[in-house]
Amino acid sequence: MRKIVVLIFIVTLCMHAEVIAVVVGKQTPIEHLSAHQIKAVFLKKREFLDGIRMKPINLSPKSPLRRSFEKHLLKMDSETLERYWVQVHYRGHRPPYRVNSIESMIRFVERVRGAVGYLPQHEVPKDLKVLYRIAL
Amino acid sequence: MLYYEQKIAVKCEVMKYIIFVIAIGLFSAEILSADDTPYELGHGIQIGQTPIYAGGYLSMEYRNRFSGEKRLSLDDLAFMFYGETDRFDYMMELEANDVYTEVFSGAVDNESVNFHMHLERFYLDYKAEDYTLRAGKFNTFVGFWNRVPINVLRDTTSNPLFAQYLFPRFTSGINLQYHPEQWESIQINLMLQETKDLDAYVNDTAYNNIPVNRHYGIGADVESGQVRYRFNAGTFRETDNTTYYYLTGAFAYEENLFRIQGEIGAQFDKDGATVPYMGYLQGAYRLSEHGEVIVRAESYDDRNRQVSDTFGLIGYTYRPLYPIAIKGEYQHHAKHHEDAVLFSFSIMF
Repeated sequence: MRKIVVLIFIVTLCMHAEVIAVVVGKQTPIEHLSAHQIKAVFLKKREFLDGIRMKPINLSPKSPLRRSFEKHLLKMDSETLERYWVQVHYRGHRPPYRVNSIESMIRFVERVRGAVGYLPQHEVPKDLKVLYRIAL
Repeated sequence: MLYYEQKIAVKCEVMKYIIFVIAIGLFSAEILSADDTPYELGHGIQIGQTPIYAGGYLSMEYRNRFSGEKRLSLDDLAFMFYGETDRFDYMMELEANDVYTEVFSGAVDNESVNFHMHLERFYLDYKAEDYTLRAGKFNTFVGFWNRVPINVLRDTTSNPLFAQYLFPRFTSGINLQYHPEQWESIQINLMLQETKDLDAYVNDTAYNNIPVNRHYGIGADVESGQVRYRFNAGTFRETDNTTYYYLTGAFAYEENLFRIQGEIGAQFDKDGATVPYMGYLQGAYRLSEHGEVIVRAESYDDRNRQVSDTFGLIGYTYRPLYPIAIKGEYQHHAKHHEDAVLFSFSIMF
């Protein structure tokens, strides 16, 4: 009985652990990306993967989901990222396109080939593909 | 009396110019920005609905050599226009250097004004999956410092000598950057220049660069976790037909709160070493959200200029926002007469 209670407790904890899913639409023929590749795409160090021009999408800078994504996947804090993007401006490049809501993120990723975004795992619609999961 | 009236007139002219530039910037930010993209300082601005973004930067500097001159200058004012498409990127940067300079040395001050714009960068990139081909004038891909050399982006008001005397700061020609997907953390740069500096076609003298008419270089950028390495080798020919060779290596380690970076190189001609060594080691630690302290040691032996020195500096940079930098630094040289303090204000828009 005690073992069952412990098991239920662990399962319950796992169900509530937050997971961020990195997603693309079905028209983007990529099935898997490594953390290193995702980081390179979101920092715009790599613009093409498997012949496809990647279009990373960000939420607004104050979004908690974006902050979690940057902290756990990019492993950069907001000051370091600001320094990085101002340097990128000097080099003549733009930061990822920004949307203001998760709904906009879903619509953009669904419709645009090469668009890659991130969502809470439990909000990923069926017609998006999950390429990578980040457990927080 | 006439002398002071002339000085006031010059200062008024410079002030009018600066106010004009700031007004244009604010106008651009307010009027030209795309409706759904609010302007952010230091990120440039889209010009209407065109695929062109505009930005720029300026810096003011005060330098006091304890045993020599004191110098106040509006030393950089630049405008950038750039854009990206699926396969092509483009960039044009126009810069005026030493727009206003006042030198205090002795009884009489000297001041000068210069609004002449130079072509600092001008290039077109073609992007393929595994490589990027760049043609035009661009920052030479050597080390770390030379790739983001402007005041507001660099760590200190002064530049390390490493980034000034060993190799051409700009290359006018082509650069092939090879970065295949299977080489996750390595990229190769191959630079070829077989002409004089692009700006020298308009202005007779070399601007902000060693005067060269040939430059061949190769470099490897390697990343391993939080450590990055840069290795470069190359040869260039000055316009007086002297040929030099250079070899450099650099590393950087970065955490969120601190960075360590070092670069070292040597330069040769057909008779042997002209610069046997020139390098620096620097640490930067973020004390608060807006403030950073920087410590750097530099050493060099430059037989071309017949000078050698070892010196250290400590600096502090305050950034109320990242694209605005207020910096101070103190340099202590083994050659006592070179000791100096420097202050600067710089902004990127």
